[in-house]
Amino acid sequence: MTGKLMAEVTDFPKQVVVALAQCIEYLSAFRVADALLATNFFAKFTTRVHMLLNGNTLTNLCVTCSHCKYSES
Amino acid sequence: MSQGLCFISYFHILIVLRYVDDLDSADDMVANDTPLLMCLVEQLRGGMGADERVNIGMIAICPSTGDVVWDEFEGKCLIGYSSDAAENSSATSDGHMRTELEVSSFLSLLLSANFSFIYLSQTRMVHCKPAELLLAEQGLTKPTERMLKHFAGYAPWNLPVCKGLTLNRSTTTERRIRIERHKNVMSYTDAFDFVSKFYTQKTYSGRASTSFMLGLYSSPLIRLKGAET
Repeated sequence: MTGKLMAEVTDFPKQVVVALAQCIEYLSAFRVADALLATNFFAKFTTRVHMLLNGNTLTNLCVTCSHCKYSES
Repeated sequence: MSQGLCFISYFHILIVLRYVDDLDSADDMVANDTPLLMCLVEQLRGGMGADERVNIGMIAICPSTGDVVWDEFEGKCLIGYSSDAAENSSATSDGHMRTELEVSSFLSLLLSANFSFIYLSQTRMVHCKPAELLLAEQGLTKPTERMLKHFAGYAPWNLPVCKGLTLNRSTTTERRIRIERHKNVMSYTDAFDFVSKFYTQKTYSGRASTSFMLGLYSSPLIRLKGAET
């Protein structure tokens, strides 16, 4: 099992490995780093196909907030 | 131990606020949202200015469900930050960016410095909706810092921050992303050592995750969500 985990981690880009290490270090202080052990729940951002709109589009359409104050009314 | 308690109470309050306190306002509740931690690491890639090209590593973790989204992307400075960079950018991307600039007047007027980067990472930020950011104390470029500062101050999706842990309704207007700083960024080799140690030393059995996929796993959070519907 550990071999499989390691194999997945070695496939990550360098900066992501660094970020992952920082997260493990940070979360292990609170003893919740084990959430990172299940690498089958790891997903690359761009592989998401569900509602992958540009951030500006989302913000301007008020998708993420239902009561923001951008409207003229 | 006290740190752990702090963290638990932090999440606990987030969860309590989300699931219990806001029963009267349906607009505030997003059922599939759980507090998320996002870590960003930046690496300079040279270019005309010091921070024209950067490589950004992103990882967003949901500690309560174990979902992780990661990405690595390149941020480029195209508009406004340095005139040389703008000249160097190709006509198509420039035109494209300018249209984008017009469309998103609210954000880009504030942050026109590094638009391509903002374009990329803002999309990621809006999608991932982090409740907490884990960043390096030093070493992030100025455009990044500016963008993150802006984003941390304005987070419409985020839960109200409780000042002094009081569950006062009057504090519910404040929505911010908490920013946590770590002292120094690990080098790749250090990070790899650390990660491999973590993944080889921990005795992990696949039971939890596979049972999760089979629908057998029920954390208190999921049970709460189930009770909601």
